[in-house]
Amino acid sequence: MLIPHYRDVKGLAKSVASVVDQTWTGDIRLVVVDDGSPRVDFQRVEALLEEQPLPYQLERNAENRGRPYTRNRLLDNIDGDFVAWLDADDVWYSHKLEVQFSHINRLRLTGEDISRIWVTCNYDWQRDGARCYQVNQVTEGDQLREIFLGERLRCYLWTLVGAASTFRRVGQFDEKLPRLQDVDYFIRFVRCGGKITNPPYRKALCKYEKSDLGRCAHEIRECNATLFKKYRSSVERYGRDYLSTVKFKAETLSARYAKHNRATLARAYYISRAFMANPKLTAGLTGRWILDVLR
Amino acid sequence: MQIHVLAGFRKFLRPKILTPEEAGGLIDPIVRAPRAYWIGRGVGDEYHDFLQEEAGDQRIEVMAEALNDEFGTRFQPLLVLADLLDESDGDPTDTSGQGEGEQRSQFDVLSGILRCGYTSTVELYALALPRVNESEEPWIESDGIDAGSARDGLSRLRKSIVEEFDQIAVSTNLVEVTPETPFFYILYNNALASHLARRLSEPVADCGLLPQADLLAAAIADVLSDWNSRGLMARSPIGSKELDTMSNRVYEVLLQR
Repeated sequence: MLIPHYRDVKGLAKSVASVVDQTWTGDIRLVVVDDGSPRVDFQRVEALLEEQPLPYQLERNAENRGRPYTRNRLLDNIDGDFVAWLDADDVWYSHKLEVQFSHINRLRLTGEDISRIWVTCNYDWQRDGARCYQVNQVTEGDQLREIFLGERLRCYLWTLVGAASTFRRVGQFDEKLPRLQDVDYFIRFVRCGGKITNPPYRKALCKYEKSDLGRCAHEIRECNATLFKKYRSSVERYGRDYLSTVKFKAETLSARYAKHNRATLARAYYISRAFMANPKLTAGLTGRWILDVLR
Repeated sequence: MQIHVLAGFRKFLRPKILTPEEAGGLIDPIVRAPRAYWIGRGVGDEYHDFLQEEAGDQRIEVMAEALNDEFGTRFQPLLVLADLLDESDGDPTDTSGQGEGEQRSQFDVLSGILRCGYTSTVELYALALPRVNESEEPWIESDGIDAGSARDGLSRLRKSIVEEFDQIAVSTNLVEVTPETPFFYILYNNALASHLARRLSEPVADCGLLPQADLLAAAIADVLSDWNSRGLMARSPIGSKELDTMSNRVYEVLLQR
């Protein structure tokens, strides 16, 4: 149970409590790597872990090194047959592991090689205090295509359970990607023969509370550009329309970050770039925005 | 891995089924009887008989892996193989496991799981009614559900396991069904229901009532329910006189239907 942490003790407490509450009967070991939080926060993390009933390992980066480095330290401390991830402030519903392990057994029964499988799940999504709604992970079809598009299959580590060997096979997170290193990780998993599967369970198994506050639009744009450069040939083989949609989505993500961080000029800049990538989709987006304003 | 096996007698464990939570609660707070929804909805809600089915799949191997993955120091697995002790007794009237399609024995199920190599220790459990004055409750010993019979059955079962798996440590445990035992009324009622069914099936047929087995079982269940609701079951012992009264009441119910 791998958890990176940085300056969110309250969120970490919420997340750990949801792991403790799991109905799954197997042994769980928490591994937490603190990414250089202030000393007082780290002391609170120590106290929090000491009070809860599960065995744990706590490591600390001497200074803030960023998420990919921290996730790599977590990978280095895998010591079990299966791995699951959680980010501080995200919450697992109590049946998550039970449902996912039942699915692993179902896959075994049908002869699937679980050393090549990740089990994701549907999740509840709540952004910036807005209405919470369920997002369903669709794992049918060309998973690489869906990952690049990021609509029907989202690359969230905290939804996953997988055999430890699957993570070792993929290797380390790319530390040149302060954001989207999990997208890159998913891409590499699928490209080396991995398959993502979702249990036949309609409800959400966890909840993601997201905020764009403090997220840098330029940084995410650069990370998207890095990913695009890395996997250009893979993306291009899906055709021009697909390529322009992927570029559009990258630009509008930056525009969204800019909007939520009140960077109006930056937002306009990224919307214009989205228009250059795909005028039709941008027109549709602008139309919806106008309707929202009029309402 | 340490596994726990509730091996019977089946007379305590049917017709009313213990839920997986109840079965675990009967043995030890640390044990859990796993379900197997990965085979289908509701599979494992009623003991682990489904492992006997020769469905052409690897259900026993997958179950062994599941037990190894999903249990450890926090909780330990409990398999409820309700007919295992009766199999070791070679009870000719035991009709368990006979149904449509091919079926393994429950001993084969346990062997299959042990053969997968994850298990180092087996704790066997048998339910039994405690030793009482034979003249008061003669039916207990005649039905073979007394403590002595249970110990003998466990001993035979243990010997069979150890002969095949000499690396595995096997311990036996007797669980006496007394009013202090969790779910006593379920277990005691099941034992009585089983006794009455055996006692009455031929005479009822001879009387020309000819009920089907499920009609007889339903009539018995009604009578026992009535006894429970009137608090009569709490008055032990249930001896010959009480059994005669119950039997007569079952006849009455069957005649009314």
